[in-house]
Amino acid sequence: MNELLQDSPDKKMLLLGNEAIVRGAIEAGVALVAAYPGTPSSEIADTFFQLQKESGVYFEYSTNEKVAMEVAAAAALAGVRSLCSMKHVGVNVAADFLMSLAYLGVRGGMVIVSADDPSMFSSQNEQDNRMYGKFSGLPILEPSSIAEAMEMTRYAFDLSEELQEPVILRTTTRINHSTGVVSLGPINKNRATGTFPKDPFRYTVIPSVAMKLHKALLANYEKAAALSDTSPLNFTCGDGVWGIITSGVSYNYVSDALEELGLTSRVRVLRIGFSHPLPDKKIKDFLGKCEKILVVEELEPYLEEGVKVKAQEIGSIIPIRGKGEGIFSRAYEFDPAMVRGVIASYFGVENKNKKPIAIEMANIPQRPPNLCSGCPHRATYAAIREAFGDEPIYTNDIGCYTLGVLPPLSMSDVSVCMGASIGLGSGLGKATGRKVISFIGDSTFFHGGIPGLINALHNDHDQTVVIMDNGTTSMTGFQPDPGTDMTKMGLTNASVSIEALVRGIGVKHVTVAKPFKFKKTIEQIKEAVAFKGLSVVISQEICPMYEKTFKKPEKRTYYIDHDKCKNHRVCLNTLACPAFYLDGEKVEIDESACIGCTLCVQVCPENAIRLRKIGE
Amino acid sequence: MADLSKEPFNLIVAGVGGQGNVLLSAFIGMALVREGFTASVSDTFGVSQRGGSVTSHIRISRGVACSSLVLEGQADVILGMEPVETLRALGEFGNRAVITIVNPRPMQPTGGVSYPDLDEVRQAIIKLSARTMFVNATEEALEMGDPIYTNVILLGALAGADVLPVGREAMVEVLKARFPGALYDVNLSAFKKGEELIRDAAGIFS
Repeated sequence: MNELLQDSPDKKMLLLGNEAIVRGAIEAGVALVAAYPGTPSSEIADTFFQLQKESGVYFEYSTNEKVAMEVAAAAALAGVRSLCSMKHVGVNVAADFLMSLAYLGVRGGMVIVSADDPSMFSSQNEQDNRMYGKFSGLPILEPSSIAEAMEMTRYAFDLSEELQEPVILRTTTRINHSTGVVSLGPINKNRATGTFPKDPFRYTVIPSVAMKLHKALLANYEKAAALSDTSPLNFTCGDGVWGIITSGVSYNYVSDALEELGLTSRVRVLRIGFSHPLPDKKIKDFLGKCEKILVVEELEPYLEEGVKVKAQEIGSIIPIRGKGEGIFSRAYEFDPAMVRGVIASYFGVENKNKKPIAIEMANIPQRPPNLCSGCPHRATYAAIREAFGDEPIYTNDIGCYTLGVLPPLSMSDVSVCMGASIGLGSGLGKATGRKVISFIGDSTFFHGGIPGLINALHNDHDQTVVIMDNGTTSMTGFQPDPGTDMTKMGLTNASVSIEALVRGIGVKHVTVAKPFKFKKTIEQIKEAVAFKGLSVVISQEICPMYEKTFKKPEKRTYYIDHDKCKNHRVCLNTLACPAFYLDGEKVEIDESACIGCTLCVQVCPENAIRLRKIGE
Repeated sequence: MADLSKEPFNLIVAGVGGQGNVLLSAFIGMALVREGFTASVSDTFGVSQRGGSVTSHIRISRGVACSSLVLEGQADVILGMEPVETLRALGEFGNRAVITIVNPRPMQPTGGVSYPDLDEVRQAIIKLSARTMFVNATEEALEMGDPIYTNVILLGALAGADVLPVGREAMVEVLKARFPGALYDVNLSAFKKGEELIRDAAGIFS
């Protein structure tokens, strides 16, 4: 049995933050989980997916975050404990449902995991989803450690049932993607089947119903606020007349800094773990004991503003600072050294800073991200660039293929969020009169691209949509999407044909291209773009990294024959495959990186790229 | 087995995405937990699945957990899977006392960015470290038939270097738990290869 499913209380385990969340949910008796993958939340979904047979927990990768939240909330309405996980921007997709789900409430415990991404390691923005607590009125828990991620998840189910409303567990990348030691708790047996007693004038949010439900939500808010005030998740430590109020991973940086600066007996700390609603009395008591307060939190001044409101209510005029010039920024993830520096300067103590060593080497090369060697997206992009250069406007979407923005491919003029490429393309085409080519991956197409495509057809936009179908959700770690052939994983879920879908809605010009047939693809693209109106090209080739997970690749590599190579560098300059490197002035192929896709062979004007024969 | 000389003890594993650094760090973490330590592992990497710089922060203590990121200039040991990445890590986390174990095989940056002179990189690593041990892990892995063994060879080297408060037994147990049957045998021989290599790498003191 998988270790995460073993009922061995008090056992110590090293878990990834996301695994700790899974374990917490399993201990709480979760019975249904639905998710759309998104960094840094993906391993929550992936772990439930891997465990689905063994765990007795129903799991599905839903088409998008909104559907995932709907499926999970419905289970909770039927009294079944459920969880849905998503990255921070995924909550935006689900927000329409979330805001009224808060009115509706639940019967079984429901936990919504929002994995935020300060510093945008893998995201288009770094929005602070604690704001969704204020916005929706729902409670928010915020762990500072891996162990707490597990404990808070477990508690969140109880809290949700106590309040009869969903609870948001808000994490950040530093929690999701760190590992730490947890002490396991007992596993409560889950209840897989619930009941749904019909009560239409309780659950159908027509205005007359919603009016009552909003009152109920506000009453619940008061109840949640009282729980927050007595919660051990909001605790104080240290002593002194200087105060720090903090939450999440910042609490650890504060603890380390106070230790190193020798301030533990001079600074008292209020750690907020139950961060919406804020603990009213605890904050006011804390303010009463301090002469000066620093609020340490990543991203938005959520705590800071809350604390300032409390200070106003008790007429406190002590300095309370958080975000601002010379203090903390609203941008980016914090790091321990930076937090220590700000604490030292705010309280006017010496910062014994160990400066990093100055490296005397002038040029340590950076390693920018790049599409993998043998990536079919590179072939699709290279074909389109070969056909049209910079002439069209290229709108792009969210996935590995967004890396096509990098030169020399340069195939993204604008990209905003999941599914936006098609609508952006329609509007830009209309406003500029220029030809627009929109790129979208298979998973993203199912997630949010379909309404845009139907709109483009219905409103007769002159646009070419290229659906880059590599059979999986590559960027987040090869999660299946509705088009994925599930039989490869021994599962039988229906596979939705993109081609049938596109033809079914009535798109007149539909082509399926195989991008590694480079010349043919160029011709197909030219035809599609010449078509007046909406045309769709489905560029179909399985992601080789994904394929490798279930099939041993045939080792076939290429090398550069320097007798033939005239150093045009078409390969390097137009494809920038990571298997190429420069050895002095010569282009070489790193044969341990080459997977033999043959794209470079097809663009080399001298036929200088040759297949390495076995044993050569 | 070395004692826990300092609380917390900070290990940095630096490499390039795709080298197996995340798994290597997880192995080290699991071995530490087996021995009863409080350990945390935090990987910092960017958007790329492969080919970007990846730094894993491993913090070891007996008592309470601390923050999962190592402060600048405070690494006790740097395990470098690639020379330039080792140098980058030394710049950020190095100090006069740091011990560096490094796999000297370069990973070429992509997109026509050129790699600095390898000998200069080696010299800089030696100069910035109190003690440097070179371990030809990739070469050995290729000899074994697959570069995939590089990380387990380096795990063996780390065990053999006797710089962590965790011995070979715990690491071998982790490999046993992770790899079934024949895969365990080949990984164990990779691990032993690493131990051998570190024995021969006397260590260069600066």
